[in-house]
Amino acid sequence: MLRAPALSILIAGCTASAADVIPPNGDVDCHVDPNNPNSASCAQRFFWPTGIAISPDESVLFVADANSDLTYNSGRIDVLELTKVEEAITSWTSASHTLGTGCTKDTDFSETMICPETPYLDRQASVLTGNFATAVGVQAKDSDGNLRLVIPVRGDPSITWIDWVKSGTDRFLQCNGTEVGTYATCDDDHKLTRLRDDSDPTQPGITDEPFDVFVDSVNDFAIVTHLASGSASLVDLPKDGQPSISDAISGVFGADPQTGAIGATAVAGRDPGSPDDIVYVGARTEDRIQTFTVVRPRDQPALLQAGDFFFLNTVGSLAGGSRDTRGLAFGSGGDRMYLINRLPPTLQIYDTSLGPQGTPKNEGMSAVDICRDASRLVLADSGDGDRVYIACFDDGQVYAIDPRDGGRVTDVISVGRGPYDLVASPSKKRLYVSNYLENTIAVIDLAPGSPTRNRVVLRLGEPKKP
Amino acid sequence: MTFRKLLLAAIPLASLVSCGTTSSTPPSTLALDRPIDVAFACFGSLRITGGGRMGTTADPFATTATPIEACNDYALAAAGVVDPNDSNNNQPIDKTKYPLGQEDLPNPGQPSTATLNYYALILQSVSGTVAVATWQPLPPVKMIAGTVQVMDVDPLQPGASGISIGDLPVGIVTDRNGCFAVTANAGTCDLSTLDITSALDTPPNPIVDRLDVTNGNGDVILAKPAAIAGEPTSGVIGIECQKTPAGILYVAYPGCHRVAAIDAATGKIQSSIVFDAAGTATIDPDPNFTCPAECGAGGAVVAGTRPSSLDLVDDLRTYLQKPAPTRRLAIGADNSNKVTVVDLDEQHLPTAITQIPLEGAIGLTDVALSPQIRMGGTAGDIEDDFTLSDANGGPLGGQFQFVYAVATDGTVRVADTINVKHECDTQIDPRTLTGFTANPGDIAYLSCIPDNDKPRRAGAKGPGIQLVGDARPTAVTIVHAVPTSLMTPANPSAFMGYFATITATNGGVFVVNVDDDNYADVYDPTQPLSTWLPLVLPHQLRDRIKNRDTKAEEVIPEGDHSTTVPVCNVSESVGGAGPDVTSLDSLTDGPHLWPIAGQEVAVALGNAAIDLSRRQELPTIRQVLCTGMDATKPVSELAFAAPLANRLASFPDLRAMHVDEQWILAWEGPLSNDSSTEHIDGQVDRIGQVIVDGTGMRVVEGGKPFCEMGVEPFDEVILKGCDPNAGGVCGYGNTCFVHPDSPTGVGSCMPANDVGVLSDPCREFLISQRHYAATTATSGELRLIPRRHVLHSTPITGCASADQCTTLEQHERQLNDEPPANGAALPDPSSEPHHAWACEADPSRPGPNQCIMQCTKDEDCGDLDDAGKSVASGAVCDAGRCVEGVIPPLQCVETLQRYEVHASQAFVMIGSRSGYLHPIIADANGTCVKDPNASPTLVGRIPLTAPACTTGANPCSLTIDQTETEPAYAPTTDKPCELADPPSQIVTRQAPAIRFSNPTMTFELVDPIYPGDQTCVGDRKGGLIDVPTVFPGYAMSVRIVSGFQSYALPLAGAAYPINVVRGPQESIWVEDEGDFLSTTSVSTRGRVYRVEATLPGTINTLQ
Repeated sequence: MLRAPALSILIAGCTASAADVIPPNGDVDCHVDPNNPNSASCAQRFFWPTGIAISPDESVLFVADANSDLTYNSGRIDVLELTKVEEAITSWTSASHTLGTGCTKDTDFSETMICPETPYLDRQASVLTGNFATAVGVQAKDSDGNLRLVIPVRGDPSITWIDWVKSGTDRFLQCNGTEVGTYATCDDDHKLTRLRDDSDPTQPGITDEPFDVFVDSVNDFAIVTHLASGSASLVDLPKDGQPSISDAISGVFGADPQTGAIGATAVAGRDPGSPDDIVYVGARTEDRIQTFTVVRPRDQPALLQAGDFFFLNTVGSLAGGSRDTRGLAFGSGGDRMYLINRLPPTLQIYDTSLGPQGTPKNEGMSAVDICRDASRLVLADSGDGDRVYIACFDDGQVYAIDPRDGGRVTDVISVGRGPYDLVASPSKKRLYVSNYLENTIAVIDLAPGSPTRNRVVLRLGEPKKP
Repeated sequence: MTFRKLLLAAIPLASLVSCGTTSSTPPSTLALDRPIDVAFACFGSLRITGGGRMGTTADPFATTATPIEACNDYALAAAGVVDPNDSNNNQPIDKTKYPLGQEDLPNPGQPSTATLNYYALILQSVSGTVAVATWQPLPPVKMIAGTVQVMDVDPLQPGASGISIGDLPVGIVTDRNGCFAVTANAGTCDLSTLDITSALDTPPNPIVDRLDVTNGNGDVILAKPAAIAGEPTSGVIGIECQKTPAGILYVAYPGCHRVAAIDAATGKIQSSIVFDAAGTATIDPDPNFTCPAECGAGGAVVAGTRPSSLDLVDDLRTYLQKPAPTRRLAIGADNSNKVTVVDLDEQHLPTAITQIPLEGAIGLTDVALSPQIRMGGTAGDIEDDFTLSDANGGPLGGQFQFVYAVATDGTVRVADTINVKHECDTQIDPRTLTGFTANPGDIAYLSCIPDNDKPRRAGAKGPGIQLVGDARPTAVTIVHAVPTSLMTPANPSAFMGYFATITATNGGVFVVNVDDDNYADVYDPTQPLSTWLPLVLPHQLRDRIKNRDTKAEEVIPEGDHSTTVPVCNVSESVGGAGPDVTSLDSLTDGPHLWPIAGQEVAVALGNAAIDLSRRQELPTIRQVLCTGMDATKPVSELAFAAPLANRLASFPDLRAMHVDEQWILAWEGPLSNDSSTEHIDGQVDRIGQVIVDGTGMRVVEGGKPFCEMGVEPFDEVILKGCDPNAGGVCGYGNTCFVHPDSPTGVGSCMPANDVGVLSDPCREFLISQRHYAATTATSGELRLIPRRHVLHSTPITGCASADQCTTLEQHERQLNDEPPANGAALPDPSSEPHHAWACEADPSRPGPNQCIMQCTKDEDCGDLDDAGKSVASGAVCDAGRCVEGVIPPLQCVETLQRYEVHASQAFVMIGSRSGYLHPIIADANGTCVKDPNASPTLVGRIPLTAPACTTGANPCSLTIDQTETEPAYAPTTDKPCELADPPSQIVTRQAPAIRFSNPTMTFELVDPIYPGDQTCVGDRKGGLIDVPTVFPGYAMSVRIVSGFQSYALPLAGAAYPINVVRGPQESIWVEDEGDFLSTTSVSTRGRVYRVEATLPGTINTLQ
């Protein structure tokens, strides 16, 4: 494994260059017509939503619009106000089934309300980013709710960082030295593209295809994986300082001997915030999990320390291995690792509790057959124990799995076309899903005992036609 | 423990690769879609007699489903009269086997008998459909690949369509009459009934009805089902199907903590088995209970025991030991360690409950119940079929009825439910199971050894059956193989008796011997190779290697007879490319040593200071005398040609062995075996942070690997530095700096900008070997002190004086010299140059005084050439003593450091598959300590001293016969070392030895010390006491092949087998959920395999 980062290969994008080809931001200052919230001047619509993340206080959802067809000249980070969303759901799921303004009842699923997204977005908070953002990581900076978003952006390629600033009653995203929110474009200072010193053009650039991100808020770092190179980048995130890419390791994974494909994919920390948090990274072409820890030598930049690795031999090893890891999550204080692989399509549950030797056991416990082409997973406990939710990109479904004692699929939820990312709100008992192919965010009811449990109760955004 | 090879990163990167989904185009011919369960039906044209009488030509025929026994009878008829000499199985149909009422009655214009076929109803949960496959009623011996075919039940849809049945069905059964299939649906919390006749008729017009489950008040139960079981078909042959299902169904409701007995006709609950929070089950005859409404109408599930798996077995056979038919239901709960067996009455309603607690905090995710089995029976006698062999059902081991349960600890648990009624421990160390004979009491004991009654083999997770590698069981069923003819004894593919088949997450389907009637019941010391204990015992994974009873013998024809004679030059001993362990048939025989490059014990000397002629003065694995017709010679006690007693003693637990493993015994070797492309027990070449502060020097790893590695106090830590010619090893901003005074050319990673500043203050560190002793070890930190430079040949009991050290150094130097030519005597070693020594305690090594090199300057610590000139070696002078590393200033080691950890003063025994076995755990403070409860065989170090074997220690010391070839001298006056003719001789002598046992083998390491030579090489008359000859870099390797390899059903392409079901005529049906639909490689949306229990090579594959 080489520690020298490879030079980046910049993507020659085909972004629309005309100044007027801006994302569908609407006019920030316009007055939203309550009878027509999607009017041309005010509508702020999702466009190819990919990564989503929820604030620790579960008040807002950050949505990365990837601009994947390059219709516009940038991507965008939206801020979805979950209080408003909850109010709409409460009205809708009440006995009166009150539709929100401009909302309709889904003709195929009677429990689902479809609403325009504009009224639920904090439109003045949004900022513009590069194209093809893939994920959103959140660093909690303080107890006041100030946050920092860490966003892998394939199109730059960069690791873009954005502050979520709470100032009095104002809240906005900031990634520009002179502007806040209001569709300001993230400046170069907020796009990490080089190792150590972004202003020094002699420094090596980051590798292509930043893909997934894990943020450890307490230990002030993020790790970003790279889909096209099998690399991992370490981002130092001092809460009061300038983030930087302090280390990178290339060649973490090898290429598929037949296709040449290579990639580091999912990443998650076993016990975020602990002094020696172990970060697990999955691969696209190998049935292997590589572990890392972050060390901070005195007077030196933070470094990635490669630890032991282990193979995913529990599943499919007699039929060619189990690989193409697309999601990782830890539960039970780091004692369980949930992992989704596309080959064979399985949720795999690993015992990562500390063994008698003080080291995670990393032993396969069980597996559950899942949909083909799963993209991400999330763990949620809405009051009756952990459940794993898996986004099934091809099938337009979310699998709900009770992982206890062997694991079993408890529900298959039709959610919309191209579900990509999902996050849960334990307090609201909701699951939010970005539907990449139809430009919507679906909200699933997770409340135990609810008649609409594991059903989409709200779809934000008008589903784009195939 | 895992073992896998990494992909090699040799392919150039694609410059732009999409991060989106991978598109796929499923093959158009695939008919199945992630099957999870299967039920069976019999359907066709049937003579309608009303049942209970013979047919007449006046009886009409109707196309209908019928109990599966009708098809079974036709399959029996098709078998004809079995003729073992007819390899083509062309016997005529035995029409006497036709079912009552379906007799052969030729009648022009009418069928002469029924025309029936078997059908498999394959449940596909995610799509909520049932696919259908069909085959003719044939006996297993006439089944061939392709006999079973998927059929299209909806001709109007493209492809072989299935029948929509329900929302997330969890299981499928047929009703009592074989007329309906019933599914339990988790998506809608109800049942679906499929009229089989409507589905299979021409044209098909499947009638599917939803059936609500209701309680005594008629309220609908809306709990999510997890499993369904139905009573076996027992209806009347010769009647048309009724309009509703019949019989009792059992449905497990985890959220309701109950298993309900449901009338299949009405959906009304008749009774239930209810579980309390402790997992205790009781029969609740009151059907008027409620459950949380998990489907649609709200209702939260409360915590409690979750029954989730069922198996129902009607054992209708009767005999003296079992005078009445029995019907029993087994229940597993996924969060309870109690397995529950319910006795059922003739109506299949519950009457009594037996619960057996299993060890540990486990849950049970699948259960399989056997019929009653009379345990024991050997050599082809089908002891369990009471209709054939023994009407009394005894004696042997007596009656048992086992439940097999897939447990959440990744094992398959076994318990007997009628005789001893306790869990059976399947992991007993065979070393402790001696002295049992074939008397009924012993067979009974071995049939279900009480949990924790005897020590388990090292590494056992518990009492359950452990699969091989990282495989985890997903489902289990039990089949009864009754071959039509006697089978080849001990042939792995010759199934005769009761066997469990276990599907596993890794794609394998394992076979377990429940009661193998084609193999011995107990270990027979008179036929040890035919009765390997791990193969004798019930509930053990089946072995797939043939000819375990082979000896090193040769058959010599002599006229009309032949003679068997022992041989020593067995074919393996010539070495070669090695056995092909991937093939079923390539490995044979019992476990034995396989030479490496022609050597039984391959030796590596590293940078040793010893001449090859002295090799026999080094410790080695004991040899014994082989006396054969072809040769008489010393062979390793692990060799195939070793006397049988030695072979058997060497491999005491066949099951604990890997099929092919190479073991390395390295003196002061590394504790890990992994390279950059393997994972067994951790990386040899590690990266850590070295911290130097006021408390000393330590190496730290955030992953806390040290106790897992097995580090013990005073183990050696080698900071490896870097290779200046290997780019990129030091990380960005650092460089690999080699100090100009370094004798080794090994560099150290340092900040590129600071090299000039650090060169001087770091000099001693940079020019040293950087070897340290770990004085304390915790899981995340090793505290280091410099390792003293000692004399390798320091007596194992400690040195007595500095002068003794000098003498021993001179003796040690002589080992590196070639023997004098022309038969001359060895020269006097006292003329050899030497260092200055101190005999004192070594703070870097525990134990007696060591010969430690003294110095006043670094030059005093170098190696001496023949002229006595010092050559820098990397040992440096520190406070008057030579050391192999120094504590550097902090700034010398601020970047991450590569390092290795080696054992100190011991051989490390490390396996290519097993890795380094050790008993080290972390205590409450994280300190690495020996686990007081560890198996005594969980050891991986062989020191040169050990307690006497009479103490029961492991390793232990003893004196033992060692046979070897040594030089034969014919001294003359002027040539005291003149070789005789022949120049060597075979001798057997008493040798000091260390006996070592790990889970897989036992052997003796002979000659840990050597007395030295007086006149000639190998004369052993040097008079040295307790002086070792080993040195770092000395290693031995042995390869042991034909260890245990588990038998697996040969299912090509199985990716993720999720379930296994017992089918008609004891066929085995495996449901494979399939893999990713690839456009570039073979893949499916799942398969169903049918395997004949008696002919496991006959496989029908549906997809």
